[in-house]
Amino acid sequence: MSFAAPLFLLTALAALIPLLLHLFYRQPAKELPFPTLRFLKLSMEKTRRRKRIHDLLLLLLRSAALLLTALGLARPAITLTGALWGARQTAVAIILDNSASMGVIDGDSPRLETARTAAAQILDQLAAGDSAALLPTCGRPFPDAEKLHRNQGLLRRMLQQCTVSYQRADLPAALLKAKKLLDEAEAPNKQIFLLTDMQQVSWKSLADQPPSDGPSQTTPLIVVDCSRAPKPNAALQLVEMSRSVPVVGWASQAVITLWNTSEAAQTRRVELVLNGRLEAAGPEIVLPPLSKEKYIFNFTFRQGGLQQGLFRLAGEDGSRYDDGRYFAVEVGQELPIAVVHAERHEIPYLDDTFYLEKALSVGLESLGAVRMTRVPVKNLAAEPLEKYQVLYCVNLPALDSQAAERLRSYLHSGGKVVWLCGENVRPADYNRMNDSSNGELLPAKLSEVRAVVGRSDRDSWHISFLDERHPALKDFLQPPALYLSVLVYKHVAFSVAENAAAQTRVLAGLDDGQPLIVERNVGPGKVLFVGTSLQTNWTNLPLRPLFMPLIGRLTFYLTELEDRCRELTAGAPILLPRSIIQQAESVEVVSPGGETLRFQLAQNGSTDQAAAGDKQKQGGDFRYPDTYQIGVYAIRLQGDAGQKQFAFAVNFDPEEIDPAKLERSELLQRWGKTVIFAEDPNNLAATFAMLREGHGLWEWFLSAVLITLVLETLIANRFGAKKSPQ
Amino acid sequence: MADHQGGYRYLDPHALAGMKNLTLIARGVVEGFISGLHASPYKGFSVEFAEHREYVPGDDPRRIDYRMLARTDRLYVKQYEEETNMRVQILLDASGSMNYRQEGKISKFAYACHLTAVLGYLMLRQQDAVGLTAFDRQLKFDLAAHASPRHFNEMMRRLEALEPGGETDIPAVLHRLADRFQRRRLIVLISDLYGEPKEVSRALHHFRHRHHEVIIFHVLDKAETTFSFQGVVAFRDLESNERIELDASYLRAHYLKEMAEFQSHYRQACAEAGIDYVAAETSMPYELMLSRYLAARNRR
Repeated sequence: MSFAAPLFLLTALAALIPLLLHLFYRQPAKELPFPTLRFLKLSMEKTRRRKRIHDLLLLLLRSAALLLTALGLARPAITLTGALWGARQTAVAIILDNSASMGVIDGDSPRLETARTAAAQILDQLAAGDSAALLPTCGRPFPDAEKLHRNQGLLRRMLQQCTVSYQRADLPAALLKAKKLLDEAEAPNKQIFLLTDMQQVSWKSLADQPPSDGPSQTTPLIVVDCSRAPKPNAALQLVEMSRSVPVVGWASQAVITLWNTSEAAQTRRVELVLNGRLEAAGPEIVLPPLSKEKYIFNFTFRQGGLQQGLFRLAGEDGSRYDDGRYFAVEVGQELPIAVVHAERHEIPYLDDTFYLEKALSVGLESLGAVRMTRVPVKNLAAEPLEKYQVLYCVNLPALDSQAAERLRSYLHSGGKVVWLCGENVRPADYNRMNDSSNGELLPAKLSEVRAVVGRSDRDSWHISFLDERHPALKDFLQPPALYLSVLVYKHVAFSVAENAAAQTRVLAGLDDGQPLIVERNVGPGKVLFVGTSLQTNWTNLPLRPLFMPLIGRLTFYLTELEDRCRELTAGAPILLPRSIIQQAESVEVVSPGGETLRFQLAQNGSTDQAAAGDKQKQGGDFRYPDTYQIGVYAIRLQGDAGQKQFAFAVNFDPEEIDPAKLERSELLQRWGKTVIFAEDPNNLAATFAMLREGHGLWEWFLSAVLITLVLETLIANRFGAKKSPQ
Repeated sequence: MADHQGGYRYLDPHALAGMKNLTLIARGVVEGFISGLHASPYKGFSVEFAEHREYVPGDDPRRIDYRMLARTDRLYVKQYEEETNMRVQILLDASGSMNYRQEGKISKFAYACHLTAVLGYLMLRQQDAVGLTAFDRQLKFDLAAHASPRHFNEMMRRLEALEPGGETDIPAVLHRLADRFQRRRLIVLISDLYGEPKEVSRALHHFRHRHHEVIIFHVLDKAETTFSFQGVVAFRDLESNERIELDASYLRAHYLKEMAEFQSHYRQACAEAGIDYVAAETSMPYELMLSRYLAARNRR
């Protein structure tokens, strides 16, 4: 408790007056004759004890009335600051919520502007000697942020430089940071101001934090809710590209989730911008109030290579920060692949490569996505394999040492090999070939050829397992009938060695547990083994609807088209694993704004820090954290092996669209009276006055004085003389 | 001292005028000679010489005292005191407590004296014998009951000279008087009765045991019955001079309760003993109080 006029406390000595009067003052008594004292003495005897209690009560009440009056005059107040004598040195931490939702326009200005106004008022209240720290919750960190400064000019500049970010705030974490900062401050008065729109998603981690990590009696939290009635807003929450392989000329589909967060219907149009040009625009869509709608946007890529795109909502509304989502796609165009084959069958459809070549040529080559070359196996040793991105080895006999060595070199240079079985595949021969190539030509040891012919227990196997996490297979899991209907009549069984298991990945398996498709990394390259042939006497796979898109997906996966495009939330770092960058000498990062940064990398698997730049190679991986700007970041690896390009589409956190607010009662329940809510962010005068003077208690004291006086009157009259009848 | 022609201090002619038709009649049998008012248990005639007066024409010659003629050579007639059927003995409390009065008001003692005088006058008019005994702790004086004007004059003289004071011991005095009074009489006690109530009641019962009729005029001042004092007051006992300081406002309720119990005790005790108890508050004019009482008594 503090007192605004502490000198009045001296008047509390007046509470001693009734006691002194009671002890030392005797009212001069008028002497009167009376016939007899008999009854007076009797009455005195009977009332002595009660009179004593009565007198004591009156004494206490009178002293209490004087004491309470003195205390009330001293203007007591409960302050959370603990300051007894008024203003003392103050340290303030200002948490500025600059998440994406703070870009929403309330009335005629964004919430962040309201927050800035509130922050400026807070800084205005500081006196010389006071210190403050500004803690923006999101965005590129300021060098001077999260430190206490006495220099108000510096703080105000930082405040002006704070902009709305595309990230989601973590307010409990910010609160903990602020508290730790103030715990180290020497100022006796400490306060945390939280300028926010109280969005619920910003408080998600609250349940994981103990209450002691929040405000306290000595470090209270003042929450300034900067949100008011928002302008109507519709957001483009999510974009899901269709499962089809993005190839030039081929129809693509994007499923776009639109969210109308306002109570009025919104009419908006979705536009597609590709590589900076408006490519297509959809029709007007009417979004009912407070609704989420899915809209299917159909379009076609006209160019191959890395495409940077943006789906956006045309027109202005309550927030421009949630109106678009970027994407990056590697569109396939004339990717060089080779089909290595043995003797060709006279009847084309009986050839081992028939269905494969059909899938590749009809599905991909005709669209210009791939350029297929047929390579007889006898030319394998002499063929410059490095010009092909994928080699399909179809029903080949075991290779001779020269061809095997060529293939092994191809793998080590980053090539991708897919083995397809057939009658020429003899497990023992293949194993020998593999052993002589250091075990790097096959993902697993072949064991035997199994067929249903002659078996009575079954007439086929079927695929019962697909690796749902595999990029090439994840789109074929639904409906399950897609792969469950694939029957296998003959296949080559594997035995995956224990020491090879970690490097080997089973992509598909049969219902008896036998792997059917197995993958393994060999240096920068990959080798896949499909344990069955594409002949229909081996399997019905070529005849299933799954087949062509699977071949396309697998081909694009092996060419690492998809691997080169990723999506991130703003603020999340771009990470390139060691396996990707180990052969690169430098990394170039092109930001959405066109800024290019080049980083030299340490050689070959070294975990040393980068020689130049401030972006480090962490544990062998490349990490770029500065993704506060949304858009497509192009990453180029330069090295002896040439250039490799990756693209990262950085977007705002879609959860920031949710306007749901955290109830004040939740914070009050958690932290009690250590949390104060400011009513008007544009006028914090009342809040400051309350902080300075605390919750005034003088009214309570005055009420207590009145009650005491009433009691005193009642007791005095209750035991006192009744009016004598005249 | 006032003369016997109506100039007595305690006899107000105006008060008397209002009571001229009132009489005090004994309830029970009284010893004496039927002279028109009271029943007597005895038969026959007995006359007792009272005093001489000069002969005036018209007096009965048989009443001329020849012995006085021989002695003084003047004619005197004997005046005889008829033995009435009632002797009245007024017992007047003259203790210090009776001297109490509120400022501007009549004191209890003066009130009692007025009452005594009027009663005496009534008795005289009824040709009953009246005596007066004044007391505090002891008897101050004791005039036996007679029915002559000269006796009444003496009674008034003594009354007017009487000063209240001294402590009270009503029970002892009453017991002593009860033992002394042989013949039945009407005892009129005028007092504030500030003694031990049970002892006083016992003493009153003593009178009744001796077949005396008793009337009590309980004289109290209004201040005693209402206790309208405020604040801290130092009360001084009029008899013992003892002083006590107290908060009168605070004690009032309890005092009044005690006072009511005090009065109620006497009322009940008198009712049980067949004694007329008359509350005589000094705020009511004595003649009014007495008139009411006598009228009510005579109606019974």
